[in-house]
Order: sequence, then C-alpha cells, then structure tokens
Amino acid sequence: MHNTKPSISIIKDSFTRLLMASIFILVLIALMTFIRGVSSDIENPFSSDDWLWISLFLILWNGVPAFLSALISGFTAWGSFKSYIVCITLQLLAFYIFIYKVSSVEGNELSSSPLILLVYISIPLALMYYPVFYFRRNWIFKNSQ
Amino acid sequence: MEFHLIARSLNGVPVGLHQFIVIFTDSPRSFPLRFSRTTLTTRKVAGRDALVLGAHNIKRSSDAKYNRLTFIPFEAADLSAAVEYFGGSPSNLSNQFGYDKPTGVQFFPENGTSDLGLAVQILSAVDYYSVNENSYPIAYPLPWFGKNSNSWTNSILDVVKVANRSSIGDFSGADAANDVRIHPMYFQGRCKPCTIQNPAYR
Repeated sequence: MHNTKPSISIIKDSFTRLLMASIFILVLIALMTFIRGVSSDIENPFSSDDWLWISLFLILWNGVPAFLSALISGFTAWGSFKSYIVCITLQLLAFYIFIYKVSSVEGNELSSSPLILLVYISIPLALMYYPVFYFRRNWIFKNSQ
Repeated sequence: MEFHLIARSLNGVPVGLHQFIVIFTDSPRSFPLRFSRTTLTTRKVAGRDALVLGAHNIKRSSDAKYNRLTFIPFEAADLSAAVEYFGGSPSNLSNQFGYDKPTGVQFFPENGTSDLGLAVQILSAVDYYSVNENSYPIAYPLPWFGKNSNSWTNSILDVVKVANRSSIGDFSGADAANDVRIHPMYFQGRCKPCTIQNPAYR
C-alpha cells in the first residue's frame, strides 16, 4: 500500500527513528564496555575512547541503510521490511567484496582489525537492528497506535 | 636516547591501529637478550640508530586454537611507519585505502632512572616476554576479546619506570585493547607457570 504521508513527515519520522536507534546503540555499547571491563579486570573501561568510536561506527553502519530503507518505503509502495532487506543486502554485498579484496593483500592485518568482528556479526547485527529502528509502540502496548 | 610510542594503520585495513615502541640510541648498538638468546642490533630509522619493538599476530599452528601474540623486532610495517613518522620516506602502507599517517608520543624515564636504565628495563621485559610467551602463549583471538599488540605495549609501559605514563598509551582512534593487560609476570621474570589470563587457555 502506497504511503500517503507528506514527504516532510516521512523524512522527519526517519530522522527520529535514527536518533532513537542511535541512542539505543550508545547505551548498549556502554553496557558492553562496562561488562567487558569487569570481565577483563580493566579499572576504568570508559577512560579509553574506543567505546565511543565503536558506537559511532555502529550508528553509521546500521543507521545509514536503515534510514535509506525508511525513505524508500515512505516514498514507494515497498514495505519497510522489504526495503530494509534490499538495503542491507546491498551493504553486506559491498562489505564482503571489500573484505575479500583486503584478505587478498599480501601481509594483511585484517585479523588484527575490529573489521574482522564485523565479518562474523554483520548479518545478525542487521537482523537485530531492524526491530530497533522500526520499533512500534503497539509491539508492547497493544492498544497504542 | 629517546623513547617513542608509535601507532600506525594496520596493513591493508582502514580500521584499527597498531602500537609499537621505538628506542633511539646515540650510535649503533647491540643489545644481547640473555634468556631468549638473541641480540637486537639497531638499524637506521630516518638516519638515526634505533630499535623498533612490537608484538604481532602470528598464525596458529595446526594444533592450536588461537593465533599467538609474539614479539617481532623491526617488523616491516612497523619499521616503515617509524621511518615515515620520523621524517623519512612514506610508509609501505601509505597508498592503501583509509591510510592514516603514524602518530606517536615520546616518553621519558622517571626521575632517578637513566635513559640507558629505561632501555635496559624495556629490553629485559621484552626478553622475559619472548621466553615466557614461547612456553605459555598469549592467545590472539578476535579484537576486544583478548590481548593484542596494544595490550603488549601498554603492559610493558606499566612495568618499566616511565615518567609520563598516565598520559600515554591510548591514541585517538581504534587502538583496540590498549586498556587490557598481559599479566606483569610475563615481563618481570621467568614464570613457571605463567598465569594465563586469556579465557581461551583457561
């Protein structure tokens, strides 16, 4: 069913979703940083800036295709899930082609880079991000709009 | 003598920083490492005599579960980055996508410790680590889930007498695991057994 919302409303809604999902990622990474600090006996796990860089990266990595998918589903007849899957598929395809090229470089240090983590978690991460970005209140509160 | 902690981009990858240590001597010198039975001899870095010390991710043998974190002096990318950082020719990685120029910070011996004293402390730590790691390997699993070269440099800086310790060790960017520590016993003596902190080997 074609979305009849005004364009500005679609864009505003997409930005709002992006902002809320970004806050969720920031809190999640902060929690993981704390847990990692406890398990690795790190005295001040937040003293390093690494957790901020991770958060920023994941916000962009997940947020850009999700935001684009929201615009696509808002301006076309595509549903949110379909547009999200298409955007994610293109992103992951480009990513794995890039990783393949990197892994072909003589003496590459891919296994020492945080990118290698993304190789393993990119698909489950994308699947987990969808409900975060497209969260609807009626998923929890059945009488809500 | 001068002491520098340097961070360079990873080979072939636009994300991630690798730390290593550079020690400038005033003239060509050799430093015998007693326990690991090797000798480190300075090489020219941007026209000056220096040691380039770093730990690296070494592929595991067929019967091991993880790669190893092993000391390698004058590793090619480390040496190239050190040359670039100190004013020499561009690094062998400088043409890769997402390359950032090496950054670094100088560190100094504490009051009461001479330059040579600090150098001996660092090399002694390296010597002990080489021997201990050979017997009790430090696993190198996925980043942020274990120890890596950034943990190695920071662990060494913890056990030697550095004056400005609190202000060095964490560069801006993804120098993963710079806050994780290898147990000091790996650097302060021959440990039998060495405490294995990495869950991979518990």
